[in-house]
Amino acid sequence: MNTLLDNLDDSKLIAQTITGEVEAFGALVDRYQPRLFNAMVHFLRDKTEAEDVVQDAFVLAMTKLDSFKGNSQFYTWLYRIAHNVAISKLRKKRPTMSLDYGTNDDPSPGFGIADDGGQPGDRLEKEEQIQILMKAMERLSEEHRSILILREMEGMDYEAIAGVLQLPVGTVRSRLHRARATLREIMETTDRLRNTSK
Amino acid sequence: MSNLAKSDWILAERFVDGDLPAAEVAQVKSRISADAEFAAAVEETRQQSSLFSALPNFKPSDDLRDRTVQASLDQVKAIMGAWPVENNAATTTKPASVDRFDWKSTVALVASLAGVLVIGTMLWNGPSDEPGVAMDKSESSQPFLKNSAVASETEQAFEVDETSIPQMPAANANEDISIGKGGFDAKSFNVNQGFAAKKQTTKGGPVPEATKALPEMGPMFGTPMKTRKSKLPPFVPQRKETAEFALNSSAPVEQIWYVSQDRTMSKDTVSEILNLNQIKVQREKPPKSAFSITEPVEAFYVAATPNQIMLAMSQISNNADIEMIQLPSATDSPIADVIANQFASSNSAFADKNSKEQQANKPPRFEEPASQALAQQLFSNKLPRNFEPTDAVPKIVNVPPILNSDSPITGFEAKKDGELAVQSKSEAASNSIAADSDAPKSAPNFDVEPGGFGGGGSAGSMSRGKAAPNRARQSPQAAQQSQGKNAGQSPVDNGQQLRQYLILVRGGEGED
Repeated sequence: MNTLLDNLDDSKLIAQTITGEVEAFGALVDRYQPRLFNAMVHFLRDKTEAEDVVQDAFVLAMTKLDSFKGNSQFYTWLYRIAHNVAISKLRKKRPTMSLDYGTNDDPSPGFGIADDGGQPGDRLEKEEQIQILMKAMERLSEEHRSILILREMEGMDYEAIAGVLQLPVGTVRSRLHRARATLREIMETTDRLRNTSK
Repeated sequence: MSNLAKSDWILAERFVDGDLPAAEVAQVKSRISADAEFAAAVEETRQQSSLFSALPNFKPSDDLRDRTVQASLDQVKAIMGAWPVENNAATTTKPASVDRFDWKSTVALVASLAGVLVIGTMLWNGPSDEPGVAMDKSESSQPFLKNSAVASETEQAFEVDETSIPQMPAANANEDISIGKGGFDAKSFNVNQGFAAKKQTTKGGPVPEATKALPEMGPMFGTPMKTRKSKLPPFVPQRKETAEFALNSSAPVEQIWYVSQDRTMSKDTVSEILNLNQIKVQREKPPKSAFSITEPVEAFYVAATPNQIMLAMSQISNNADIEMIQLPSATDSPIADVIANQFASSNSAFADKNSKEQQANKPPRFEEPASQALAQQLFSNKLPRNFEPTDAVPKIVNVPPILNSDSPITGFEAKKDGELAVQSKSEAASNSIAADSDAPKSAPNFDVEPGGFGGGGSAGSMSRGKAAPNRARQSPQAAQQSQGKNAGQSPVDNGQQLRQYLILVRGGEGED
């Protein structure tokens, strides 16, 4: 790790990358790859695919870096590239795969509910809720899943989401609402079925 | 479920998401305290959002960072013209299709190639007894086709009478060759550039020298460099050359690719990629139901520099829905080599036998007459310029006068007899070197691919180690090409001159 580079902001790293500083680009990768990868895993529900997408996104970003005007944050721009790559991949690859979220014997890396110090019963209930959420996310359409990840996981504001998805802000609002409503509906149904089967 | 209106829900969500202006926030807060239902909606949205924060955090593999940086650098090098670049296959996920032999598609492809050959010969050879290419119903020697459904289609193969193909005189090495009385234009087909689009395996930097070994290549069928980016904007080369190049019926074709698309795609996909690379495309569609080919092959004649075309073709080959074969120029039996390789990779018995033969320094026994004939057709540039059915003898096509000295391709100079010497700089150099060579010297060395782009991607590996037995079958033209090929690149050929290439596209059902 290059501490000096790590302290530079995105615009400086981009400028250095354009001038041929490979390490500057490496610093950008260090900075954003884990975050982007996580988002892509949840979007694609496949870690291998997500790695491919992330790699492709960075490759594209580097080759097009001079076209980045800084009108948005670098990560937003990068995410948009990755999102397009991912959409392209998903459309080629049907039916979509189901990600093993670690509910079975082979837990996915990184999976685990943070111990918030609550009661074991509460913790168990929260884990169940998260499992339900994951399953519900799988059943969402690509566009709904995508917008929820952008908002809820990436924490992007509506403007940024509009930039990534190339939508008007008004559409972002209504789509986000539909996504949330659909998710809520799926989760409630799943929960109901679960309780019935118990 | 709440009875709130959609707009109220959106308002509640915007409040939770912090999307409201300060003035509206106060109003919403007062409503929350006054409207229990609205307050419940806000709370529900909050709870749902908080669940996401507990989702697992997936981490990439440790080496992804390095792979990403390396792949990015490779791509930049490729765009900047340093080609080929480092092996992407080692740094990325292996495409699922690399090790998979698709028996059906291979057989179908062979049948289609044979179909192209039939069309070409029927149109240009006609019913006459034209020397050079004779139609003959031969015994099929390809073992894998004997019992297949398409065997009957390929049984009627074409054998090229190599002895009747006129030998290019050294003194006229830079002139056209005409085969047959039909006046068919068969240019000396200098395909010495090669192409390494399918896999990039050699170290980045300048193009490999003639003495470098060919990169390791995978099977030709369905071996995209990476299974990715079909609809991505292609990388536009940095160079800005946009000179118009008149595509015409008799400019020499530098290289031919056979592209087989997924049926769900449109033929425009290839066209679009070429266009995005600023490559001029002239498409010649086959007439519908003119021949009994289920999926007619469309000819894309393109004008591009070698750098442009290799980039575009690599983008095309990267598309997982496209299978692409570059028809190499190095051997007289390239398709046979390809098929043999494919066959060997999937058929262990054959592979064992082949391996034993190779160990004993014997030539592989695999032969595919139809494919050889096709290759000959392609090498002699004898593919039809258009696919219009006709009973007439093909028209005599002179080199068009538009190829004058102002042409972007150097070497077009008017001759006294009104024709033109069609020759690019590289051809001129290679031909002149070939002309100076004596016979043994000019024997093709298939083990070495001269500079340029690596000798046909996966084709390279096909010819390696199998060249010697093929040499005896090599036509004079192929030998001529190989002479030019092995003579190395001309110092003046910097890959920036426009050439004509041919892409044969099969499949694709979308709107053209």
